[in-house]
Amino acid sequence: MGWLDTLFGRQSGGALRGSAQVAKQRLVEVLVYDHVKVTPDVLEAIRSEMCQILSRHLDIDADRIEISIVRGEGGERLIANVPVRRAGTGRR
Amino acid sequence: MEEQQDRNGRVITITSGKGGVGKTTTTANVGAALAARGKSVVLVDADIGLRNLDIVLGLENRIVYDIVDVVEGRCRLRQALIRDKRLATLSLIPAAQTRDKEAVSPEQMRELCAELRQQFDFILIDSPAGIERGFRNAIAGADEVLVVTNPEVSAVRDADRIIGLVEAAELPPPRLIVNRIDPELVQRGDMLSVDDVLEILAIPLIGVVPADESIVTATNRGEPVALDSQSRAGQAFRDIAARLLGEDVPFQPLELPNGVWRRMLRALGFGGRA
Repeated sequence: MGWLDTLFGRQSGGALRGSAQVAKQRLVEVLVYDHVKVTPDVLEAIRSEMCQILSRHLDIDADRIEISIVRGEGGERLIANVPVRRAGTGRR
Repeated sequence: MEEQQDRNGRVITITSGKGGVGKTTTTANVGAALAARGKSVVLVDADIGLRNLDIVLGLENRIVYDIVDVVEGRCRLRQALIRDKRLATLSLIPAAQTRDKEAVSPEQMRELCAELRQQFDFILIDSPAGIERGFRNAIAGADEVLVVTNPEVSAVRDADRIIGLVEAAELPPPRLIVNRIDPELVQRGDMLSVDDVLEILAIPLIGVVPADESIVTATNRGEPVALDSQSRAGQAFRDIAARLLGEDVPFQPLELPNGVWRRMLRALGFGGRA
């Protein structure tokens, strides 16, 4: 914090981050798509088809499904985050 | 160099994908640094049609034959080798200026490298930008590859592409040179750091070269900055040469000029924005 961060050149806080963070984020995203050769509309198609299949077996919250491709150890991974509703809670 | 024993030299290609990141400067300076260490070194300008390596070395007035003359048999290899003015063990094979990339085939490059390998300890090939024929030629005879990048989105993206192509060509994973890093911008959070670039590209690091005015002035004069003992960039190129020789050289901390003191004063409330 404070003067120590300034002394060692660290950025304080998250809100005032420099453009390097933006550059890194853009780079990571563009490389994922370079590697996997998948466009956002293909991802959207995957999302909607997965949603149909899963709905046959589970009560899922279709609006909150998140699908993304992320870099990880040993390559890219498709991550699907599918919220499932509990049976009998009446949250429908 | 006249003796006929086989030196079994290493062929190292310097490439980048994107143009203008410092391939030619790197080739000239790593070569000069290796030659200054007593190694016999030949630099090959594989950027046919856009000859530049001769300029960086200040040898542009000495060219008679070029790489296309060699592969097409119009001259002997020895006749196309230009001896450096300063370093007795440094030579250059210039690119042709009036031909294009198609004038040389990957097979011809492999043959040329095999011949050079017998006569030199190090054969450094300056690749053209791009991923097409010129790049294919440049890596055809390579034993290892160095990828040069700058800390910016487009250069790193292209480096990533090149790394994939090098690996697809069944060469060992290339090693990375991050060129033109500006410590002050990194510290301010306005430039990708070496760690950011390494995290994304995930290949071994062999050099970090700071942005340095001395490169501009040395290139203006046609003198390799690696021979300037005062230059920070020159030191970075000498370090790369030492690492190629297998020495375990620590990476220089990217210190700002007067950095710690200026920041300490600033932190204590004297002058400047925090």
